[in-house]
Amino acid sequence: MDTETVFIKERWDIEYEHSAGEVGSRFLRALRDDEQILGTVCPHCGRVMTPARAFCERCFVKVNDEWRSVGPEGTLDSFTIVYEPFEGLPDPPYAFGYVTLDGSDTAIANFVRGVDLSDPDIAAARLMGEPRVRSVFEKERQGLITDFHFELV
Amino acid sequence: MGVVGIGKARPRPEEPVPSLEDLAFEAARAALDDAGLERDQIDGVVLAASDQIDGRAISSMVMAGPAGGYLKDEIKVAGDAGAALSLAIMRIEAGVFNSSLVVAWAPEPTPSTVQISHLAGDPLYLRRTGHSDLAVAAMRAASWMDEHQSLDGVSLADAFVADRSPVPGSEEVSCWPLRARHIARPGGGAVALVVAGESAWPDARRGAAAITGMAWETAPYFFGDRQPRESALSSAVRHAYREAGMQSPANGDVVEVHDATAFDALIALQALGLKDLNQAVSSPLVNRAGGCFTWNPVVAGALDRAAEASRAILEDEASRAVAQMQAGAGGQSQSVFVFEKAA
Amino acid sequence: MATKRAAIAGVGQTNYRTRHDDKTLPELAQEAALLACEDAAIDLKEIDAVVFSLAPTALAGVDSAERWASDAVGASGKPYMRINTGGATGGSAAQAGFYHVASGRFERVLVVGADKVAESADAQKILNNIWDPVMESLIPLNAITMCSLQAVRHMHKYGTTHEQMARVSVRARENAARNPLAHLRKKITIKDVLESRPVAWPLNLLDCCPRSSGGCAVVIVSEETARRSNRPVGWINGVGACTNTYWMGDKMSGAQLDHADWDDLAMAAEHAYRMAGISAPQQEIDVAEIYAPFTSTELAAAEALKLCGKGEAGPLQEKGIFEFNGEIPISPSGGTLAANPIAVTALARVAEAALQVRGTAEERQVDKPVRNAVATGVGGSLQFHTAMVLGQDPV
Repeated sequence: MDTETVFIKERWDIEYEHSAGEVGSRFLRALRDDEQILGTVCPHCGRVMTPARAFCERCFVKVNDEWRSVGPEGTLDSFTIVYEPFEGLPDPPYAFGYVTLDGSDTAIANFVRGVDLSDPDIAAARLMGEPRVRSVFEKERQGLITDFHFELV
Repeated sequence: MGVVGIGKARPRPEEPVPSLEDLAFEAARAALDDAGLERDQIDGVVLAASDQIDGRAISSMVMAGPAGGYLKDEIKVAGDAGAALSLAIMRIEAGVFNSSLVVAWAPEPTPSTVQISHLAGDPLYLRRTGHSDLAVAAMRAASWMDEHQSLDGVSLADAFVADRSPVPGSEEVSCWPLRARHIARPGGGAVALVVAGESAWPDARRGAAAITGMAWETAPYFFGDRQPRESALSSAVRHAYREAGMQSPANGDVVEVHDATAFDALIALQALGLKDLNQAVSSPLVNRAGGCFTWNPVVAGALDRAAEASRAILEDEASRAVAQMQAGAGGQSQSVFVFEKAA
Repeated sequence: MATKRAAIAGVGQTNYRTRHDDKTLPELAQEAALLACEDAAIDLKEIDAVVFSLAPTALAGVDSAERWASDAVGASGKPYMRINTGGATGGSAAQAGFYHVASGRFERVLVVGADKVAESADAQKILNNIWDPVMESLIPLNAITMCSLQAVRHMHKYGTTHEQMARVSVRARENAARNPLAHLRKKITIKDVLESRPVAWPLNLLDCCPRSSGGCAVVIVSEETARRSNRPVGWINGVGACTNTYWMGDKMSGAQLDHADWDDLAMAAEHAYRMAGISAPQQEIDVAEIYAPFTSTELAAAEALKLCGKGEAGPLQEKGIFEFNGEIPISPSGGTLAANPIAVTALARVAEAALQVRGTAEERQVDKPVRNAVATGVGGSLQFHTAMVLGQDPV
C-alpha cells in the first residue's frame, strides 16, 4: 500500500497598486523634491502627525490645510538591530527605529545608519537612552520613505 | 436593533484616487454625521473586508483607525458583510454594546477578483481546474436556467441589467452563460452603517430602520455538493421572514438583492418570494439605486444592499425593506435582513 | 451584564508541531472540532452555529480557507463566519462565539480553527506585508522587530533586563514539559537564552515563539445547555477587546499610551474584569494564560492585567509568583513560546484557561484551586488585544 504524501506546489503572484492618496502623495513628493519631512495637523487636538495622515483617528476629523516641516533633528525613541536574514528584507545587520522629530508629536520609522553593528550589545548601548539623531537625505530620491535615513548626532 | 446612520465613499473619476484609508474614513465619518452621533458615543466597530482584495495581510491593522476603531472594541469578519452586520447586532442583543459602526471597503484601483478568488480554490481538487468566483457564478446560472426552463433566463438577466447599468456591457461571453454585460464590474469604495439598540434611537438624527428579521447560512464548499442548489439562501429567507412575521414582500416593499451578476439577482429575487420575475426585474422598488451594476465595491457592495434597504425606511419611502447579501463562490454564504419603520 | 450566560463546555486541540503533513487544513480543524464536541459530550450535528478562527490565509496558501474548511467543521447548513484580527484572531473568535450565545440566538456554538504554517517558508515575508504600503512597508518591520521595539522601550522605562526576559522562556519550557500537545518541550536555562543566536536586538532566538501547525476548538453553550449537561464548564464571565492605533510611532516617548506598556490590553482586561465582578486581579485571578509571542511581551502583559505593578513583572519573577506552583501561574500550558499555531494561538489560551477552571488540565493542572482565569490575545502591531475571564461559577 502506497503511503506517499502528495505535495502540490503553488505560487501567488497578484499585482496591486496602492494609492497613497492626496496627503500621502504630497508627503512623499516633499521627500523627493524638497528634502523635507512634513507633518499634518489635527484641528481638534493640535497633534502634528508624521508620517502625514489625512485625518486624526482620535478626534475623527480631517486634518486642516496646514503642513509643518519637522526635524531635521529628533530623538530616537526605540530601535532594534537585526542580525537574522529574512526573505524580502535587507541583508543583516541593520538598525532601524522610531524618531520623534523636533516639531512632531508622533515618531516616524526609518533606518539608522553609521553605527558599528558588529557587537550587538555595544551597538545597542549607543542607541539606547533616547539619543539625538538627525535625518539625512539620499542623493538619489524616488518619492519613497527610504529617501532619508537617520544618523546619530 | 436598527440602522440609524448610513455613509458611503465612492471614488470620483475627476478627483485624485483616494487611498483605502481615505475611503473608509469618509464612509465612517459620513455614517456618524448621518446618525448625528460622535465617535465616542459608539461602543464597538465591526469590519468586513478581504485581506487579499486589499493587498495586505491583516489589512485591519491599517484600516481599523480610519473605520473608527481607535481604542474601541473592534473586530473583523473576513469577507462577509452580512455576517459582520449579524455579529454587530448580536453584540448589541447580548447587552454588552449599545451601538456599533459596521464598515466594509474595497480598494481603488481594484485588483482582479477573479484572480484572487481563484486562490480560494482548494489546492487538491479545484485550483488546477480554473475555479474562480466567476466560474462558479456561471455554473450557478447555468444550473438555475436548467431547473427553470420555462423562464427565459437570459432575457430576464438582460432586462435586469438594462434598467440599472449606466453603460451597457458587452456581448462577449465571459464565462458561459455569463456575458460581460451580466457581470457587475468591481470597483473601489466603502460603506458604513451605524447600528444601535433602541435606547439610542431617540438620539439618532432621523430615527431608525428597525431590523425585524435576520438570518445567515452557509452552503457546502463544492458547488456540486449543493443539493438542492439554493438551500442556504431559501433557509436564510425562511428564518429571517419568520422572525419578522412575514410570508413574502408585499406591494410597496423595497427589495435589495446582491447582484454581483444578473443571475445572482434573479435567483435571489425568486428565493425572496417575488414570483413574477418579469415584473420584478423592471420594478422600481428592486435595487433602486442600481445595485452593483452602478457600483460594486465587492465586500462593501454587499453591505450596500443593507444600506439601501435601510435608507428606504429612514427616508420614508417604504414601510418595509428586505436586503439579501452573499459571500463566497456562487454565493456559498447567504444573509437576509428585514428592515421596518421603527415603532 | 450579558443578556444570556455562556460557558465553555468542551475543548479540543491537536498536537502542535512544525509540520502536519498528515492532514490538510480542514482536516486539522475537523480533528480539533470533533475533540471539542466529544469533550462537551455533544454531537457535531447539534452545533447550531460555527465561528472559524483564521488569521492571514497567505500562510496556508489558500484564500478564504474558512470556505474550504466549512464542510469539515460542520458549518454546511449552519450560520458561519470567519474572524481575522491577526494574532488576536482566536481570542476575537472566542468572543464572537460568546456573543452568538449571549444574544440568545444560539445554544451550542463551535469556535474552531487551524494553521499550517510550514506550507509556506515565507511566513515572515508575508508578515512583512502587514505594514502600511505607503509609509512603512519599506522599513524592515515584521512580527519580531515590532516586539523588539517594545522590549527596548520597556527596558528603557523600567530597567528590565535580558536575564529577566530569559526567565520567561525558561518557565515556558518547564511548563510545556507537562503539556503533551506543546511544540517545544525541551527545558532550557537562562544562559541558553542569552547565548542563543541574536535575531533582532534585544531578542535572541530563544526569546521568540516558534511557528506551529495544529488545530484548536472550543464549544460554547448556553446556560440551559450547561446546566442540563451537568458537566464541569468554564463560565465566560467577562470579555473585552481594545484596538489601539496602527502607528507605533504614536506610542513613543511622551505618548499617552507608550509602546513599552500594554495599556490597550489593560483597557480590554478592565472591561472583562468589570463584567466578571473582579476588582482585585492580583488576588482574584488564579491562572493567566497570556498570549506572549516574545519573552518581553509576557512581562508587559502581566503588568497590563494588573497581576503586578508596571515595571515589576521582571524582578517579581524571582519570588516565584508566576511559576507553576506560584500565586499566579502564567501559562501553565507553556504558552505561546512553546506553541504558536498562529490562527488559533489565542484560542488555545482560552482553551487552556477553560481546562484549568474546569480542573481537567491533567498533568498541567496547577495545584491551587482555580476559581477565575484570564486568557489574552494580541495581534497586529501589538495593536489588537483581547481578554476573556473564565470562572468556575457564573456571575
